[in-house]
Amino acid sequence: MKRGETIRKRIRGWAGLLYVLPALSILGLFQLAPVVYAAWLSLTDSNLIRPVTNFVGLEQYRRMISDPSFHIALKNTVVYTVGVVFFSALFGLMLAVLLNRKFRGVGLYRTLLFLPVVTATSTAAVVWRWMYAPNPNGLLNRIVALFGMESQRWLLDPDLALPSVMAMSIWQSTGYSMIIFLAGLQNISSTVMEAAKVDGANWWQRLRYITLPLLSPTIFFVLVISVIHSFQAVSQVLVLTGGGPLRRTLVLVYYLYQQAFESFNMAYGAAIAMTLFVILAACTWIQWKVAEKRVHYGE
Amino acid sequence: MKLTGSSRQLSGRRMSVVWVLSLLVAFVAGGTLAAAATEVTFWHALGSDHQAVLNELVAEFNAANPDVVVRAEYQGSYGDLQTKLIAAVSAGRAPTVSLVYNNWTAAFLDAGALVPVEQFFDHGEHGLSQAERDDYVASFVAANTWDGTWVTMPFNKSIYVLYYNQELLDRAGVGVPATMDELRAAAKAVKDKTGVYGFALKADIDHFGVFLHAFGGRWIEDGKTAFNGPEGVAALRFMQDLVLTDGSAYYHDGYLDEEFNVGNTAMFMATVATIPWVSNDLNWGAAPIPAGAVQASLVQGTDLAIFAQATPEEQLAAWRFVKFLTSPEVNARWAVATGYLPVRESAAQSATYQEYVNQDPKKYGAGVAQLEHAKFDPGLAAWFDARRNVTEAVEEALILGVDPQDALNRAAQATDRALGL
Repeated sequence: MKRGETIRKRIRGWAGLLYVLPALSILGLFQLAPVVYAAWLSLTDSNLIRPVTNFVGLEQYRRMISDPSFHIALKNTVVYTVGVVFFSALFGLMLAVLLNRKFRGVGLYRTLLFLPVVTATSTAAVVWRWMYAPNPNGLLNRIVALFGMESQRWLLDPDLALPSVMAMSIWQSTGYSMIIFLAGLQNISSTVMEAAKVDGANWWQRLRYITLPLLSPTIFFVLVISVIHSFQAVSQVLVLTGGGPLRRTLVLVYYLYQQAFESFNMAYGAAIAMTLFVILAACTWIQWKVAEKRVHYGE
Repeated sequence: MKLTGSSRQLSGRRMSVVWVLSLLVAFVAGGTLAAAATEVTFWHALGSDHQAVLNELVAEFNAANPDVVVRAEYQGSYGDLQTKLIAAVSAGRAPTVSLVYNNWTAAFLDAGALVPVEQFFDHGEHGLSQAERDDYVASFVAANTWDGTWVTMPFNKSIYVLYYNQELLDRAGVGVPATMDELRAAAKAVKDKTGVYGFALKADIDHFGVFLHAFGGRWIEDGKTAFNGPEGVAALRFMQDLVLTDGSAYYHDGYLDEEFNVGNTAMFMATVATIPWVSNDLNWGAAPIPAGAVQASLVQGTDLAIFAQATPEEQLAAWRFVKFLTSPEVNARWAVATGYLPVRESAAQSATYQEYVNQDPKKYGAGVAQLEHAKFDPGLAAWFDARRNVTEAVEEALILGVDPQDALNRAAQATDRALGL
C-alpha cells in the first residue's frame, strides 16, 4: 500500500516534468544553450568562421582588464543606466499618480504615453536623429531657439551626445514604468486611503506614508527590469551615434557587437557578453537583498 | 454491374500505369532540370537604384544561361551583410557568391572559406585568357591579391572626388582647387564672402585617408603602421586648420551630399558612387582630389568573392556570373548606370562609358581620371580595429583640438597592438 503510494507520487512528479517539458525545451534550446555556448566561446580564440578553435583559458578576460575601450563602454553603460532608470521610473511614477484617476480621456492619455514602448527602437531612433539635426533647422534646435538658446550639435557634441541618447531612452521607457506603477497603484486598497483621509492626512502625507510603501514591491520590480533593460541598450546607439563622438556613447552591447561582428573577435565578444551576464546577475541579486529588507509586501 | 465493375478495374489499372508513367516523366524531367539549373545565391548590400540595375543584370545573365539560376539577395547594410556572412559561414550555409570588403576577404580567406577566382582562369570553356586578365585595372588586381593569389574580383568600386558648387565658388571669386593650398584658400574665400561654409568633412578615417595619401603618406610601410609619420601629421593638421583655425569647414556625421544639396557647404569629398544623389538643381561638378605633395585618391567599395562551401558545380556557375558582371560591355553599362568605376580598361575606353563621361566631363570625368593614382585600404582582417583607432584620433584633433602628432601616435600604437605588428 505505502509502496504503491510513493511510486504513484513519484510518477506524478515525473508527469509534472512532462507538463513543463515543452516550455523547458524551448527555453533550454534558445536561452540556456546559447548562454552555455557563449561561455565556452569566451574561453577560446574563435572568430566563428575559422574551422580550428583553440582553448585559451581566461585570455579574453585578461584582455578585457587592459582594454581602455571596454572600461569606457562599462562607464558609459553605468552612467546611461543610472540616468535612464532614475528618470524613467520618476516620470513613470509621476504620470501614474496623475493618471490613476477617473476623468474624460484617461484611456487616451495612457495609450499615448505607452506608445513609445511599443514603437521599434530603431524606428524611433531614426525619428529622434532627425529631431537632433545639428543645423539651425533641426526640430530641437528650433525649439531651443524659441527660448533664445544657441543651436546645438546634439549628437556631435561630446558633452551632449550621451545625454541626448539617454533622453530618447527615457522617453521610450517611461511609458513602461507608468503602466506597471499604474497597476500597482490600483492594487492599493481604497479603504486605507479613506481611513487616512478621515484622519486628516494631506495629499503629500498619503503619497509618502501610504502609496509609496505599499507600492514598494512595484518600484522594486520596475527598477530590476529597467536596469536589465538599460544595460542591454544598443539600437538607439547604433542609429543615433554609432558609439561616437570620441567613444562617448560607446555602450557595452554595442562594443560587443563591434568586436564580435565587425572585428572578427567572436570570442572576445562572448567574453564581454559573459561579463555583462555576471554584472546583471549581481545587480539583480543586490536588488533582491535590499528588497528583502526594505520592500513592504501586502498590507 | 459486371461491366461497370470490370471497366472500373480496368480504369484502375490504367490509372496506375498513368501514375507510374507520370512519376517516371517527373523523375527524368526533374533530374535533367536539376542538372540543368545550378543555383547560385548572390548576397549584396546594394539598395535602391543600384539594386534595380543589378537585378536587371542578373535577369539578363539568367536568360542567357538557362543552366544557371542566380538569385540576388539584398542583405541590408554592409554591416548587416558582414554579420550575416559570419553567421552563414559558421553555420555551413554560406552564399555561393557575395560582395565583400577587402578586410573581410582577409578574414574569410584565413578561415579557408573562399575559393580564389584565379582557380577558374584556366577552365577551358569559361576561363579567362591572359589578355582578359591584363584588361582588369592593375591597381584593383593588386588590391584583390593576397600572397600572390588573385582572390576576389573588383566590382562596385568607387573613388573619392571633390564635389563643388560652381555658383558658390563663382561668388567667392575662386576656381576649382587643384592643390590643397588652393582648397584651403577657396574654402576660406567662400566662408568670408558668402557666409556659407567652404568645405564639409567627416571626422573619420576615410576622410583622413584621402588627405593622408594626398600628402604622400601611407597606412602601412614595411610592415609597420606609418600613418603617424610627417605626411599623416601634415594631413591631420590640414583638416584641423580648415575646421578650427580658419573656421571655413565643419565636420558632420551624416551624408555630406545632403548638406551639399541644401546649400550648407560649397565643397565636400565623397566617392563617385554619390553622383546619383547630388541634386541637379545645383550647378555642380566633381574634380580630382586636390594634390598635396602628390596626386592621389582613395578607393572604396566591394569585390565579388566565391565561397568554398558551395559544390564545385555551384562555384563554377558563380564564377561564370562573376565573369559576366565584370565583362567589358556589362561592366561599362553598370558603371554608367550607377556611377561606379569601370574595373576593366576596355570598359573605361568603351563607347558606352566614354559617351557617359563626355555628356558632362565636369561631372563624370574625375573618377576614372584618378584611377592611376588610386590608393587602397590595407586588406587586413584586423583593419576594423585600426579604423576605430584612427577615427578617434581624427575626432580628437577636430573636436578637442588635440595635437595631430599626439593623436596619431596613440592611434598608431593601438593599431600596432591590434594588428600584432
